[in-house]
Amino acid sequence: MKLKVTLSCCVLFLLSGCISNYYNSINYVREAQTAFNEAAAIDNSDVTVTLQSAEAGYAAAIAAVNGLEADDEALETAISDNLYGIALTIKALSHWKLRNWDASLAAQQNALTRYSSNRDSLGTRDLVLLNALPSLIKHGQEVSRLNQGVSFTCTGSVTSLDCTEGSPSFANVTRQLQEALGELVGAIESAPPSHPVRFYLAASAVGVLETGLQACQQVRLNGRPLNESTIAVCRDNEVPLSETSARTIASNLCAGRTTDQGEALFQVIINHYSALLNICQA
Amino acid sequence: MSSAEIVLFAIRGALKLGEQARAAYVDSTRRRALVLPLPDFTLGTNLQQAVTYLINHPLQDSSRMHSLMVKLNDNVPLTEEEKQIVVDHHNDQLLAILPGTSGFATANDGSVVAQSSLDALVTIRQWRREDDPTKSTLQRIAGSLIEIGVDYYLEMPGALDSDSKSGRAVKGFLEGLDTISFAEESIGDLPRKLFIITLETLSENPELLSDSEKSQVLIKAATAGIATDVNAKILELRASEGGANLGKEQAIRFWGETVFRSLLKSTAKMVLDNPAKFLDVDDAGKSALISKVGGSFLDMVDEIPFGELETIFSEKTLEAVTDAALAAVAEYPELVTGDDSRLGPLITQLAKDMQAMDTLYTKQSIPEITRIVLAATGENLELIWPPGDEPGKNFALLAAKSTIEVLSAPSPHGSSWQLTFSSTDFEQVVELVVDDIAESPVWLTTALDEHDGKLKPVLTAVLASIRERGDKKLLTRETAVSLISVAMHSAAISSDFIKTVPNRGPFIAALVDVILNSAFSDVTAVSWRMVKYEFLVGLTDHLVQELQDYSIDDAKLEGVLTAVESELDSYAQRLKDGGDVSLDGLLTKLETEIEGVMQS
Repeated sequence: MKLKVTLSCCVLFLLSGCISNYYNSINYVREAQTAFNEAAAIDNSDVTVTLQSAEAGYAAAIAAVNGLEADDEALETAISDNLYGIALTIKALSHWKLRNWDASLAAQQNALTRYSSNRDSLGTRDLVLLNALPSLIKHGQEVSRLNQGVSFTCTGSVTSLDCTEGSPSFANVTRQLQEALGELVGAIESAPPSHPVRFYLAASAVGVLETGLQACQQVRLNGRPLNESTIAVCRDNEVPLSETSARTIASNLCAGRTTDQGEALFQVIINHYSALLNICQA
Repeated sequence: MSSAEIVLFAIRGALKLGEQARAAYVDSTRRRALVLPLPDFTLGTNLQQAVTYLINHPLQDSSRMHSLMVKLNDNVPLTEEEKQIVVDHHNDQLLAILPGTSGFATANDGSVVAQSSLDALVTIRQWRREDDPTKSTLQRIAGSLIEIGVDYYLEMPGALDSDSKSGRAVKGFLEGLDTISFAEESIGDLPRKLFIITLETLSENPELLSDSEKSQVLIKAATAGIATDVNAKILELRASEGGANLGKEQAIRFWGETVFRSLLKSTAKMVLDNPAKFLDVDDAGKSALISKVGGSFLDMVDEIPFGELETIFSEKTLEAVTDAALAAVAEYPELVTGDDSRLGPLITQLAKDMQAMDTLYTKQSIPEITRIVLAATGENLELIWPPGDEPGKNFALLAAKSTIEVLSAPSPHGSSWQLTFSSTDFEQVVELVVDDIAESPVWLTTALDEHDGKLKPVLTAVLASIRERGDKKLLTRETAVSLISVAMHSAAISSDFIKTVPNRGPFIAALVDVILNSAFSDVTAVSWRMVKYEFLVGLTDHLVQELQDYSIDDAKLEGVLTAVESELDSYAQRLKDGGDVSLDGLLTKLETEIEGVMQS
């Protein structure tokens, strides 16, 4: 009996050695998920003092994925377990938030190419996010430009300023944002009905709208009168939605209103967009 | 178990559990939700947002705000103080509105939405709940535990003493389970229930252990067959419905358990009753017989709606049907062997046809009619269901269908006798009719000829006489069923009985008509004596016996009927007059009259 117990223990001991390697690939991915989730929670809290922590979290997530990619055995297992797509999605999103646009697009392309013949293995959320990422990057680039206090190239007389031409022009920024918005609306529509990723993308689309307003404000607040064409662009930018896009965004925001939290967030996001609110209430 | 066996068992068990535990961990990682960061934009109110809002909402403040809005409209720059006034006004208006909004709350840090709320909204799962392709951890691990348990019993003879008779039987069960990878299957707790059924059946049917080695093979085949078929049915259901349907899957598992129990019990009886025929088949053949029979009954879930199966089939009736099926395949293994099993399609066709009739009583009769058809098929396969014929052309099935169709037809308007036949009545007549066609190839071909089959017209005519002449208060269903049985049996005995008498229809129907006409000629005096089971059925049967000894020319059919009619009328008259009568005396006179007609 004693011999049997000893032998059984030996077997378990030997197996435990195999098991630790056996789980390496999963551990890399889970580590990346955890770091990313923590960073995003801090990021969404919009508290300036902790932004550094959010960036450190995104960097940690990227490091975990890099660790996986450097471990051939673990990478091979992650690929066969369909976990690598998740890792690449996290990497791409983390680079986006760190404003490493090229690295973000590279990770996104790697994921889409690797899973080109088997998109379902990526998972619904990740596939939708990867497809939406270029538009989020486009938006991020314009936000960076605005945050850096870039002065728009304006011409004309001091009493009638034209900011629609030149580079960077107000019109260029607007065009980029319009494109980003259109792509986001497309991504929303590509997601399965009632998938929660639709709410996230709709909220992100509102973020793009907000940025458009910010650009407009920047133009308005430069202290000098604008000419008619610039004012027209500005007005367009205040309500830069086609009816179809407005409905797509509004209906997906409305879907998030099924909870009290959803209702509160909706009220905050929507307060400038009475057109969206009307669609939703209709 | 030796030390080496323990080591091997431990490795196998640990690997099985480890593989599934890891797979569960992978699934959990794949479906893990991500908190998604919103793009960088400012949610706080700035001047532009405030202005946009105020343009679309009535101003609550007075002249100051109006003048500021005019300045803005004219693109006149505002001072910092003025800008703040506009933003404050906007915030005041919003605060006045938002408290009335359901669910709105200001967080402790002054923001209008709590961080936890925002986190909850942007924590996004990988798949919608209904689309999640991964298996639950419980599903994976529970399956592996069963596999390990099965391994344990197989490797630990001492635990169940596999050398004992009961040990062998249980081992057969476990070996059956061992052929299936439960961790990847969808059969829920079916294995546990099958195991309990096995133990119960063994204790109730010790005959199953009389030849434990061969029983072990049978139990293994039954277990593996049912478990595999149930699993296949569930996967098929999921594919057709695009996802799991817990109610229907439970119904399939429940029916699988019922079929398994009947299969084991019937196998036990077969082992006891007919060991030479059944047990001498090689193991592979035996396995095929058992599993195919089980699978054939499992297919009924495709034909009979969920929820009805268990009401139509009791444990006892399913057992009777399984007995018949096993007997049939024991006699004719070709029913289930080869590429195309014929048993399954036949049972499916039976269920389909009976369902199509869709009356309360025909549904109740499905088990017994199935048993009758299987029994007849098993007794004379070549005659009843020639090779190559479709299930719908099985003569026993055709005879049963024809009989039930006639008996279940509504009685014509104005009929005197309108009682409805019960399921037992159907079954009694069907059994007689099927037995008769199985014993008489000539009657079979005459009765069920595709273009001019006599079964339905004769039965219809006999029933029509009963409906027209009978009195619902005096003629019982039992007597009517017996009259029909005697009449239909006569048709199998001699073709004379189905000859057509001008203006009267088939001879046997006319004879019944004559008898009933006399019996109901005077309700108070005559019916009192004549409308009794013994009189009506006894008289009809006696006349059939008497007449079958003659070869009746067409020309003499009417003469016989007239003679019988005349004698019965005299008898009825004597009853009315209060004269002395006896059944024996009547029969003697009838014999004499019939002989006279035949010799004329």
